[in-house]
Amino acid sequence: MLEIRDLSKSFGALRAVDGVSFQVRPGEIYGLLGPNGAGKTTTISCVCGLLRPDAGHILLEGVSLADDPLAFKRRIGVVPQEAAIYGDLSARENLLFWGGMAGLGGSELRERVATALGRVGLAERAREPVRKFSGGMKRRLNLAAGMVHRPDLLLLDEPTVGIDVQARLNILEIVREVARAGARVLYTTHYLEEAQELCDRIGIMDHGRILAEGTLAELKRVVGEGEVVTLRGGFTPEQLRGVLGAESRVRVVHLEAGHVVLDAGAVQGEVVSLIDRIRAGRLPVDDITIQAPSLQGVFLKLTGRELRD
Amino acid sequence: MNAVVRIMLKDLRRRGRAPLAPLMMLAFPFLFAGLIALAFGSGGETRAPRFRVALVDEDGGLVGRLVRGAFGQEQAAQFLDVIETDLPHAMRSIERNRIGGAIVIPPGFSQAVLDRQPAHLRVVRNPASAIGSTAVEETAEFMALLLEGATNVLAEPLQRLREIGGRGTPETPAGPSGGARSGWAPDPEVSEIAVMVNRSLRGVGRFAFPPAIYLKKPEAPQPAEAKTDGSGFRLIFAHVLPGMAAFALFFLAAGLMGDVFRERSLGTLGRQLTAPVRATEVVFGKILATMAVGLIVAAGMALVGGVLLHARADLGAFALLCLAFLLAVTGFVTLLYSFARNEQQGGTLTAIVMMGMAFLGGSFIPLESMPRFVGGIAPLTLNYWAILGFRTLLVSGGGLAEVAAPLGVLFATGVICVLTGGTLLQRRLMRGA
Repeated sequence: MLEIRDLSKSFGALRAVDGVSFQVRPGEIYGLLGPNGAGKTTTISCVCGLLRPDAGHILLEGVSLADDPLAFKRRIGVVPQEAAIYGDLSARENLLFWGGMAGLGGSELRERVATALGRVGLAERAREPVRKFSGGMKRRLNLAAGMVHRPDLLLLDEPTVGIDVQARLNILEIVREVARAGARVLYTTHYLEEAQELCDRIGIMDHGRILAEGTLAELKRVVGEGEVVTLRGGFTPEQLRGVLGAESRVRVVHLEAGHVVLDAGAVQGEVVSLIDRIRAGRLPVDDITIQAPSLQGVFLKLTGRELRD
Repeated sequence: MNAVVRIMLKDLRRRGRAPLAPLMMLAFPFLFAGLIALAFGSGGETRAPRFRVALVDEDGGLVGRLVRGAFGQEQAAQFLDVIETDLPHAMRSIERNRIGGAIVIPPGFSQAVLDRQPAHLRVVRNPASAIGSTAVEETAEFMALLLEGATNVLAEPLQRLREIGGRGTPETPAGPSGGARSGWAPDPEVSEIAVMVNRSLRGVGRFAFPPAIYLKKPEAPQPAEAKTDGSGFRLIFAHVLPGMAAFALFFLAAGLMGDVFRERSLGTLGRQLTAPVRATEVVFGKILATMAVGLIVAAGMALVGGVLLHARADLGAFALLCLAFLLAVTGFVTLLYSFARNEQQGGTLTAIVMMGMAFLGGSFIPLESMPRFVGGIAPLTLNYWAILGFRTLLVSGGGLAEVAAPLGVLFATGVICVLTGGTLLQRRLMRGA
């Protein structure tokens, strides 16, 4: 099991990761979901040993990264966001190098390279220079380079950013296969659908903290099953509070002048009642959005903002 | 396989796929040294450039003839091609940029000199030939100075010549101008004047005739072949090549080590650091790759240089010297890059230091031609020791014992710089990979 405990990392005054804790079990795909700047990449960089954390523990099957970094790194594979491969080498030469760096050698290395190339669909173009590859092919090779040595823990940092749907689906399928083979997968993304579709468990991250974690069902339960209502217009916070009244069962998630996010809860008819009150109170509203229970809604309820913000 | 070796092999393979930069560095010293040797050493010996100048004698008198004669002297002929012509032809030659300028001896010049009156030489410059026209002007000034000195020293005989000029010949009476051209004198009088001239010249001889400037060629050791066939080209080529080769290898090392930063931007450096290897191994793999490419290029230089110069150097000593120099420059560049935050900073810093070392160490201009204080600074540069070693091996035919000092200095510097630079660079990379 991968165990992260109280991980913290600051860059000057900025606390990029603030006491993050989570676990990833064998065969599980754990998604770190959050907007850009939430601290996902910093977390992954700490886990793969590129950044030294200020505090916290990182353990893989009891092996501590801080105490025995080489033994820890021998068991991990990393797939960075950008394709970190050599354009002037062929796909096969790239994998031979990265597999060798992971500690493989001889016939085992050659066999694993051939398998990995086949798995990402590049066997037929194995000897071509990578600079001739399309973006999607480079991403697939990038993925192969991270898993050629069959790591116990595969760390993927937004591996599908900026690629076409076909290549994206291909990569997601390979990641599922890796997990099915028993590896732990830590996957960061800011695509809600991707996290929803791929991950067994999700940690919602913002401002360096994990706000909530669990399966999709658990997350929905944690934040309530009700709709999320977002209002935009020319109202003030005081005007809104006046309309809601003291006895309202609607929870205010986020409130500022002209913008409010409300959790309508699971009470039947609450949204209709809320709209009636807004109309009766003549609140200057330009736009009303009602969101059914979903990961997007969960994120909105937890952070008060859309993921794309 | 060791990670350091694996990284080195990977980089060698990458260089093999993009060999242009190493090949250019291999060719550069030969092209540059060849160009310099062609410019200054062609024709079998080292020669100063010659300038073409027109001499227009509109006077036709005694002094004018003396001036024309002076241009025909051996020393003047070394530097000047003098064309005696008339003014229109000289002007046409200037317009066609065929000559650097013209010196015009105007009518009455001889008489004015003999009369110790102000006399003027006219100079027509060619504006299209800055150096040529300056040479013509300088020559005319020198000529005027000589004439002034001569009129002072030969005041007495000149007075007698004036008197003779005033008399006229038995057949032709003296004209209104009383020009010396029409002068006539009986033999005893001529003999008397000759004795006077001789006496005057002997009096000033020990001051006037020792050459004011000695032209001395540096007594540099010559390759055996160059001595036998007197090839100036080969002599200069052999002298310039080691400096250029040292600069090229330095430049190559800087470019190859800069790949650390390129790999950082590419993300491959970060990925290497997530592998089960130490950051030190990653940096030393890069250092080893740089040295390996450098050695291949140095071997190529040795091969081509050996063929061109017919040099029979001590190959063992040569290989050791190359290794020591590459160790030193790679370590030094690594140290410089360890102070840089990115490739641009590193490249700028390295370029400044590298050019400074090349100039001060004698890669571009021989130290013999530089101010004396530069000679004191030169041993602080890596280029100086490399050039010293390479010249000792290639030009003087020295062996391992003769290059012990350069070898020692370069190896020691290399080891210190590689260890310090490697450690500092891996720390910097770990901070920002």
